Amino acid sequence: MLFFSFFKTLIDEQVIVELKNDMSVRGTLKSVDQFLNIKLDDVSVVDEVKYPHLSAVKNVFIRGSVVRYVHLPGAVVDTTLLEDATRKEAASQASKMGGR
Amino acid sequence: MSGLAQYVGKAVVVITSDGRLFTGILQGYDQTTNIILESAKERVITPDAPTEVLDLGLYLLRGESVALCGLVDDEIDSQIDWDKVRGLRLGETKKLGL
Repeated sequence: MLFFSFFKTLIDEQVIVELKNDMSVRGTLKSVDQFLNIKLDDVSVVDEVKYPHLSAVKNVFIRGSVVRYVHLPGAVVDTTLLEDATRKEAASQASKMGGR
Repeated sequence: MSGLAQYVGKAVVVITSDGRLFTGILQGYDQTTNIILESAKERVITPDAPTEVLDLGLYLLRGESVALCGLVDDEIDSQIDWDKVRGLRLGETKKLGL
């Protein structure tokens, strides 16, 4: 759930989603869900000459399972907050596993 | 919440995990991203030959094989001569053996 919450804080930022088929799509993050499916508005394909396939498309839905990377603007990420949240999540996972 | 609800009834472009491109009207979907397309067509875009179009009719695409679903902007689409479009063959999302 951590990365779901993390992506929610990035809504309305410009990101580049690199897919596992090597195509990269730039756009404004509009929506994310529990599967980390991503919706981008106002997209442009990085290297449109190679990939004209989406020339008529402005908004996309990308299935979470095909995302390799989401390139983010570093300035937008509060790494301290992220580190804290990660430690809390790790602690709660450890205590869940320990119960067995 | 992300979702394809806004695209239902509209023209969409679906790219599949094996690198194929389909267009059609989105009739339905579910949480595993299974997709139903009406008046589906496959567009085969290659670097050196005119774009091939295959008429498929009513199609169901299994969610596992869906990579991306894009909303078609009809204004822009009508200005494109797809026959003349050239591009690389799309890659697959699963590399062999991985």
